[in-house]
Amino acid sequence: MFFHIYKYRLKALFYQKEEFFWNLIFPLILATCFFAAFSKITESTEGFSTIPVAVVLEETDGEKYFTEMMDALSESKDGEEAFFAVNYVAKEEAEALLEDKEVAGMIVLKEAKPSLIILENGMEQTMIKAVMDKYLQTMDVITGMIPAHLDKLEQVMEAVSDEASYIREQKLTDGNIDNIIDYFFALIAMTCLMGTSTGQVCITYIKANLSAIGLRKSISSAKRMTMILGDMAATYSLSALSNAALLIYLKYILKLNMGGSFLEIYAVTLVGSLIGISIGILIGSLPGVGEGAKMGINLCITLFSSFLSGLMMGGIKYLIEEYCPIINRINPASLISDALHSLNIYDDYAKYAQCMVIMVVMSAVLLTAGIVIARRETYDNI
Amino acid sequence: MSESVIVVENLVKRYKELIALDHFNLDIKKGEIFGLLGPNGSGKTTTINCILALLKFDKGSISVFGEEMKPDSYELKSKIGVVMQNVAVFDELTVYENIDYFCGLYISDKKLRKQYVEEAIEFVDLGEFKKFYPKKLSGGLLRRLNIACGIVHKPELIFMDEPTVAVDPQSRNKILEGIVELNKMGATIIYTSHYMEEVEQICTRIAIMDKGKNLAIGTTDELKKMIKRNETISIEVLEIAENIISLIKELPHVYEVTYEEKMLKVLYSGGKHNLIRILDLLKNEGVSFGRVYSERPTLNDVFLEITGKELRD
Repeated sequence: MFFHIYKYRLKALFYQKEEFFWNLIFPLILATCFFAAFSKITESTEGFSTIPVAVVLEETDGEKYFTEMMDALSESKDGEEAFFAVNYVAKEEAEALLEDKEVAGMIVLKEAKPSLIILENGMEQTMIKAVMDKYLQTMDVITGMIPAHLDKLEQVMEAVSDEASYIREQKLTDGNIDNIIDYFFALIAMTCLMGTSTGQVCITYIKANLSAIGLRKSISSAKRMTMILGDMAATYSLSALSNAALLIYLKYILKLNMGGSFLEIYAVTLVGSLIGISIGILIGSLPGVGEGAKMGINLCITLFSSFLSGLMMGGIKYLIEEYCPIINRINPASLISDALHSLNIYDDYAKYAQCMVIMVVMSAVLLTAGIVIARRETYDNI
Repeated sequence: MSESVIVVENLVKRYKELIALDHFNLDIKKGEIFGLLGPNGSGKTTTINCILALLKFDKGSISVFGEEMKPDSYELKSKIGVVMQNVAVFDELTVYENIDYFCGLYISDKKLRKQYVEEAIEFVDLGEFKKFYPKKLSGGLLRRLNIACGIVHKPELIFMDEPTVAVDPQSRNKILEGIVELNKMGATIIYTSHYMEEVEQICTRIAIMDKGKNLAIGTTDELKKMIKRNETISIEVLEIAENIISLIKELPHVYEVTYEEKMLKVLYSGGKHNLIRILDLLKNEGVSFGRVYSERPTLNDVFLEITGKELRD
């Protein structure tokens, strides 16, 4: 009987255009919008390409160090793009290139000092300026100190060349540590939690006071638990399918680096959908609450928990973690995004497992409560 | 005396201050087509829902097939079919799939289920619409699908709550014939309707309900005998004097005489030769008359007299 109910419910779900849209199409649309919006930010803040510069050598004295540095910066290393693309040209040509925006800046080397000429301000110009400043600073050190301390030439050169950065980049993971990925994690969490509405529909279709079909099913000889589980399994299958579609879209079409393997991420969404549907079943089972009110509660839960997990405001989850961490431990959307985040950030699975276990336990509790309430209910009014 | 299928004793159901069922009693025997008649809000659907253990009730007892009906009385439920007032089918499933779905809630065996589904489709004459989705069906066909979904598992007891509402005459006749057919096949049927003529046509026994009470119960003839009116004679008269109306009132068994819009209406509480007597009187008094009608009381008259209102009020 379970499979009989499952089969037809699944078919009905596939033919329900609203369900199909909200579960399958809407997340894809939202993902596309996110991608379009965030990729522009990424391009403007992080997209780096070689900076074309024109260099005018007005004298030969002292050009050696400068041209060596510029040549070094023009080489590409380890597959990374070169920092500069240098054009050694005459002044007139350099001005023409600058005018035509063929180069970002024009550097004129005179009396061993480079001066930068630009026509507009921007990131590329700032970067050229930073390089020039550094060059001048280093040259000052060398030319100022070496004549006085010829005996310590080696140490001076070492000190200059060994100017170490005290901040060392330590990669914890090969994952994407870009904060923008958090928005996609929150989107995945929201998609999972949209199961609340389909979970509620499972109950609507077995409660005599909520639908005519519910009435017909209530008086049938099929056990309510079987009917709930059959409907739930069908709903869950649809969620699993929409999750897979969303992940495939994010990972293989939008080519987002989400950290863990497809299966690990998919497992999170499966557990996430389970908790979403379980919430819907519990809310749907609440006696004495109208259908509209239940829908409202479900929508509030989905949106509010997504908000708290950072769907609408990136830093909110970290604020909650600081002031009231328990919310992040029980907020389903936070648990889903944390599990995904942990796959992306940590090498071990401790945090991932913790989130998954909490979600499974919460789902079991919510589902049991929902079924117990709905199972033997008689009504005051139909 | 055949066995009781449903016994309701002193059933009381309140919706806050409103008493929906007031010490309601019912005893429905096996093989009956039992009609529950009553105006809107009289408690018909509440009675059915209480019997089906869908509604909690405040007092009284209900037994179905000799057992107390509970929400988890699955064995009992397998013997019951319900055709509700509202069409309860999935818009996303075809006619065949809908019937198969609801049959599957009772019958696990695939072969048997297939046979039952085919029989139900044939029974409601939806063979050529098997692959249609409900939205493509007319109101009458939809009602027939609703009936098929309720009776597909061959229940012994069938509740039919206004199954012919908003149905064209052709479909209505088919439905009524089907109900009688189901009864002949052994099903006990509890039938509620607004349409007196339907109830009169198919029900073997009728209960008249109002304000949660069972006002009268019996066969159509028994109910008709319960009321004062036995015969109504209507005569077209162009003109009649007051003294002649007084003479008519003095005739045996006459208890009410009215003259409105050139129609003389005389109500009798009994008697055998009422028509001859009144026509003789009119002739003797020189009153000319046109068409004459004599009518036995209808169920509507019974209802009107017992409840004091028309059923469709």
